[in-house]
Amino acid sequence: MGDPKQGIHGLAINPKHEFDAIVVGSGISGGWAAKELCEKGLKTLVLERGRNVEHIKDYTTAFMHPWQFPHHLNTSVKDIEENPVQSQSFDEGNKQFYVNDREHPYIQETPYAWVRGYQVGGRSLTWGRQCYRLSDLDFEANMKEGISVDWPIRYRDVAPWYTYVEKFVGISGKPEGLPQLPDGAFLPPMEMTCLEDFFTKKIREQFNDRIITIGRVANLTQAWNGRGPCQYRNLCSRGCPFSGYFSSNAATLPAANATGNMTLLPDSIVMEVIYDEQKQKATGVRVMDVHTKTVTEYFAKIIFLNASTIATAAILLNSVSRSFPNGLGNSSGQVGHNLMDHFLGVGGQGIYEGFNDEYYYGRRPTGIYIPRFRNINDATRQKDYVRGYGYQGNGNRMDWASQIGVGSFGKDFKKDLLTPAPWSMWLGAWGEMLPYFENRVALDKDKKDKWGLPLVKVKFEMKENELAMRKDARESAVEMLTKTGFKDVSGFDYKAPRSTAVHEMGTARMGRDPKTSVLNGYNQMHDVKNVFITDGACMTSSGSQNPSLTYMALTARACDYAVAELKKGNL
Amino acid sequence: MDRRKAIGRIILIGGGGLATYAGYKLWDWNKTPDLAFLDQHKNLIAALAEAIIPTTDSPGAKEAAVADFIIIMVKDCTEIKSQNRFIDGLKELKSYTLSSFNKTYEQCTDQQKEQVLKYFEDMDKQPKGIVGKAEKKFFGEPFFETLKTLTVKGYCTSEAGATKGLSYLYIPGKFVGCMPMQPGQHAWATN
Repeated sequence: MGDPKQGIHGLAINPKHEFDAIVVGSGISGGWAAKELCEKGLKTLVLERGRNVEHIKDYTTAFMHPWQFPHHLNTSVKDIEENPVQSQSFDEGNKQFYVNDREHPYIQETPYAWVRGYQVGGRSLTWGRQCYRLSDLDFEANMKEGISVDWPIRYRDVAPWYTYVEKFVGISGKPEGLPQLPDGAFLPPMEMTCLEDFFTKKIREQFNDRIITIGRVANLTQAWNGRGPCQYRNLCSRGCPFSGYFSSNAATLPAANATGNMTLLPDSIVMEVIYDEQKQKATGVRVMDVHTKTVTEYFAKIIFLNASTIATAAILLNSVSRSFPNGLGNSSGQVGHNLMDHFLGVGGQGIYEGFNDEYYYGRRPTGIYIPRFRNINDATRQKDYVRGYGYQGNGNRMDWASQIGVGSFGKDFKKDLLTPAPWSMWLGAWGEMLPYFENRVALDKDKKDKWGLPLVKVKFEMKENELAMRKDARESAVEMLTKTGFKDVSGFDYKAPRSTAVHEMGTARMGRDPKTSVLNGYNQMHDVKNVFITDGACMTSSGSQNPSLTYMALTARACDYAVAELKKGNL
Repeated sequence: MDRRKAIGRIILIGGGGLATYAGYKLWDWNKTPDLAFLDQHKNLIAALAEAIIPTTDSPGAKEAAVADFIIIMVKDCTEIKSQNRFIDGLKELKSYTLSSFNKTYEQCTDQQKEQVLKYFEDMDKQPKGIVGKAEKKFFGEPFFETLKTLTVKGYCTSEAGATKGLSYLYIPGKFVGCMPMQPGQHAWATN
């Protein structure tokens, strides 16, 4: 493979295929690695297994009206049959950003929805954009409770990096001064609806252990770094032609590209990391072209794996050498294990009789947030579970779809249908899941995908702690709504089909001891010093906060460390 | 056969000993549906949709071309049992109208149309709660429910329905969380 190949951006690839750095994956953490490494002057190759998605140009559905879609955004039976997993998340407007389940099979030893987007930008195009900092309540939890292993870092290590990435991303939110959910560098918050504002005040009256804040979200309430502002269409997952929210495509990849140091290669599946037994280092990656299946090797001094939690583990497990017969950097035997996610699908809802003459304007792309209030101190200690959950919620007038079952038909029905419906409040918990060794991903020995790569198999289940927490999350939602004057209050708890948040974490955890963890406190592999992993795989515990912001901060921090080490000649 | 009673009977029999009739119905509702029937009866479907959402000071289902939506939704986005029940429902409604008024549904007066639709609405009323859920899972969605659901969805997501019936904001540009309702304010078409 001597031919210089032209990357999407940047220079022709040199004949020796040599770079300073390789970044595997272009999603939310890969985009950050690309930006940071390029800005620090490293010639960086970014490999993405999916197709290229050019910012704005390739957001083909972004301006479409509901009536311009064949099924007005409904999912077809054929889509559900062909994509039993992805169709739980997509609609006609954004399904181009989800993989095809038939083309990308995996084995569910227990039911687990692995929702994926193989394209430049990855799932940063379709993410929920909620941004919350972890705190020492999270970083110290494993140690204090004797669960799993201790995080090798504390909040003070990450805090400046949270600020650093927040200032670039642009996150709207309101400071609340909570120790368990530290404030960030926020853009102005979005407004609450009348009902949310009412609920916030009532909760403050009725409960002294919890507050409600507006969702902290990577949507721009003002123009920011040449992007936005948000136009309040709430169509983010189709890609935003206004650059109103943060994605790799809108923000980090253009910044990386602007340095002239990035070469981006889409349609390139990283099969394995190449390990040199003599040098005891990784020297590069072996890559297969998605279309031609041609295999090429690329080389670099440092490698960042940002393929996403499960895919990163799969690459490590598939990178077998004499030194690492069980997968690269897997002397601990922990690679692939301790798979975590956040549970969801549990909470409550109720109707509010009032605010009949009030409404709102625009479509806010976030809801409200009730930060964790369980097990944060002795007064909030729970008997039957550790850790906690936060609620995301919405207080809106119900939409027309809620009126289908109401009334009969004809003129009166139509009049009611077109009139704003009563207000309702919905609360859903996002809960912490503990790391369990037996929740894991592994490679199947026999079954392969169409590129000849072993299929990933997943075993994942909630246990006692999660189930007890779910029970409480349902009851607490009902209690809050009942005590604040809602009617027809009901709880819900859907365990299937998709009861997790697409927040996979933990398959190459950070830790202090190389015997029990894969990465050190700088996301550097204990065993292979020039490989860094800064996607969700690195997480030692899951917290209850949406994790992307933490991946971004840890990525920027790890890049800073890696480049410093490189300059010192340590890598 | 009154399907409401038939289903009640099936439920009462329970899972252990499905009688011939229940077995027959399940088989019947799992057969390959005659989807061409839908295109052949587009006018009937349009008239039914218009009876559910009639033209008033804003467009009705007909102007919103809801029949086209119903047909494509039944073809592409509906489980096989519900497809069959919808088509069977149309057939029953046709013959019921003919025997009651000696004319087609499309030819009926508004009052007659309402009467026919009411009959089918009552017949298809679902039991509430868990029985209703179980019933839907095993036997698909009843005819009237499919008709009404798709009519409302089709109307509210059509250009005429969203922009002239409801209120549609294409690019709001701002978010105001709490404001007095404007006189004559209709519900927002999208969330």
